[in-house]
Amino acid sequence: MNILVFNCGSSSLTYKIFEATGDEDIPVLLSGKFHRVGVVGREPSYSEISYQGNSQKEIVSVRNHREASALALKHIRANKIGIDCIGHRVVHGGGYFQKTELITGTVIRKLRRCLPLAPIHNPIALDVIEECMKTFPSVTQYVTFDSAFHSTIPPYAYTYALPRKIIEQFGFRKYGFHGISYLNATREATRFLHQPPGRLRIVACHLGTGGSSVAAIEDGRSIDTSMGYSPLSGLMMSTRCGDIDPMLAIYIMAAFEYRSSELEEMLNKRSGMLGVSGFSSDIRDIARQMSEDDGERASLAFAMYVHRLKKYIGSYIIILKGIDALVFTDDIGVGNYSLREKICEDMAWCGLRLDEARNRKAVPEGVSLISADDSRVRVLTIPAWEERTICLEGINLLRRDA
Amino acid sequence: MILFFDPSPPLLRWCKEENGVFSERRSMFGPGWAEAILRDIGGADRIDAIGYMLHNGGGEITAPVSLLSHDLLAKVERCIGLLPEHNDATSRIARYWTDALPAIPHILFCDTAFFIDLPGEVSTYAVPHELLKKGIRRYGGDGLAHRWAWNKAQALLTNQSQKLLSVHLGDYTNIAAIRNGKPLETTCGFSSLEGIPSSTGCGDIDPTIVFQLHSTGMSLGEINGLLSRESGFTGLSGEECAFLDLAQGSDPKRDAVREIFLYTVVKYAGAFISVLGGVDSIVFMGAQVRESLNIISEICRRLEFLGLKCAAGPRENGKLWQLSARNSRVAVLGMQCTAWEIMREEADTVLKKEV
Repeated sequence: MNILVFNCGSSSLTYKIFEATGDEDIPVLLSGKFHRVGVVGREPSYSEISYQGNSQKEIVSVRNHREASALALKHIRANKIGIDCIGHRVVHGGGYFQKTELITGTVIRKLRRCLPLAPIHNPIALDVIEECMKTFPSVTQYVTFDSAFHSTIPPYAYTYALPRKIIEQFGFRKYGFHGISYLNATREATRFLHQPPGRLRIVACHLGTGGSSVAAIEDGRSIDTSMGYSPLSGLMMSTRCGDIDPMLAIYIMAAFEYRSSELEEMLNKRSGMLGVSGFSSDIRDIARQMSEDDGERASLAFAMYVHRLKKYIGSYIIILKGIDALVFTDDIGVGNYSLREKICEDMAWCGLRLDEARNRKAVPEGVSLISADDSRVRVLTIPAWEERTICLEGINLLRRDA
Repeated sequence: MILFFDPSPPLLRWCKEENGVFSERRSMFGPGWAEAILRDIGGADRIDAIGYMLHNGGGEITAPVSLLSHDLLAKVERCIGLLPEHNDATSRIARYWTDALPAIPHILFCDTAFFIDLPGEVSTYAVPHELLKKGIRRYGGDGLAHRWAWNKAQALLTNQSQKLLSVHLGDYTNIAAIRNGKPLETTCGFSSLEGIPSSTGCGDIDPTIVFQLHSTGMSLGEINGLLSRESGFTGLSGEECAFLDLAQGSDPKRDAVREIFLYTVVKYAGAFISVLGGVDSIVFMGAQVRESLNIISEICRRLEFLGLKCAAGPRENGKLWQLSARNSRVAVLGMQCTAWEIMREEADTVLKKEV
């Protein structure tokens, strides 16, 4: 059975075809990615595809995700690859979706209601779904939600201390994101540590090149996470400010006459690592700059990133009453050993000790154990494998429905 | 007699202290306020000194306690914009009395001064430099009380206590992390709205919520009112709810609110223990510690995996409680004190120097 998976990033579109054979191992038949989708700038958008051992990269003109997906589908048809099922990632399912679901007319209607919850991510995913329905009208499709994994967070953790009527009127509550990645991290950690599912207390850090978050996971279920109503709160991110005093937003608009839209844009797109370092949103650039003569702002940005992450890790260790595993995942989490080294400093209080050599040798392709043998808390790096996780969700869903 | 002022407009909170007896007063801060005080105390010539609490001294006022000079008062006036209502009231009251009674000592208490040297990664918000240059940073709060708690803990605890969590319980509960006398974290940020929900303040929320509210046509003033005066325990429970109602109340309607409060406190405790790299002692202080022993022991129970052991029955000694068992790895103390008592003790440090 061939499962096609689409994963929309804000300015990219990744797609993969998996050959689901019933084994744990699911080979990738084709993988492709459109870069700089809908980005206005000097550099053009381009597409990468690898299929049957051949890789090609070409400049293509795609103005949006709908056009990119149409090109991808055309390519798949031209190569006569059979598609049995198509899976999609949707960032924000709000209160409408708690699990992966087959796409039906009702589901499409509910998806439309979720559009304003994630104005950047949700509409583009729906565009791709519609494009697939046009090209493959008889193929089964399903949606997997980044917010669904967090639907188990208890009320005392998701409730903001606002007037009840305001909460009800606007639907303000913590939702949380990166759920597909946390699902993968939980499954892989459980497997790697040979534990039966639902026996581990895990703090997982999804550290991406764009957004980042932390989750507290108990018995395989999320009990808290750092992102909130929107992906703006929580950790310091590449261009997002993360947690700030809500009074600051009011004060800045009142005292310095920023418009609301202007400040919101500034906190989303020009803050975080970019805002503090003043030159890059990429923590890898920033880490390199720190040793330079004018590295002061880079050092501050790096120290802030570490400090805020350490705070969340500490919070979640306490609410879990101690943890069995600390997981680092996604590009930055897996790829940056010096960051992990800083974060794991002074963690003896919770029984955690990193093994420096193992930490430096962690590989980006698979799961690595990087804690010392006498560390009570096992520390792991796990690749995010989002498309694979979406594929597995589809296999489980079809099996359930069969 | 010493007078202390801690205005919270429209209320004027003040206190007179004479021979160790404190009498707190609350009146409206309006025309004739000073005359009413003079009538209350029986004349200006009975005043020996006056103290003023400034809740946000910005980056300029760096001493927690100091004699109020002309220059310092000018600095206070430059800080008004950071906390407009409170700071304006404090500076007007201080201006009035320093003009009226120039011969007696006037003392300024600054609640952010203790946190003036917070490490850069703690005090900085992750916003662009154009905003950071405008004085936007985490100032912290309740510095006087936290510094007092550190000093008391040092005097009381025989074990070497280098890593302290100082929890100020009350309608504005907030926590500071202190290592070797230096603060490393605070739950208060730019303002005291950040952090733990209070009786009417929302505490930490996603900033997107502010923009969403604004997009529905609410003015900034209305949003400020909503988040600062209609949220917190009161907003969640739908009726007026103070800290004591949570701490003592057996009303099951408030169980959900109490749980949110407890959960937030415990999360911050964990965050700060991580920053400190462990914890040696925890101090719970405030004017209502005696009434809060249940909620304190609930917080402690949730920290037991750190090796904290609660005493079987809390032992009171004066206004002090030893809350941890002898074999506890973390020492826990309760300290009953009012903000006025702390100001009175701190006032001595500058008054004695003067003599």
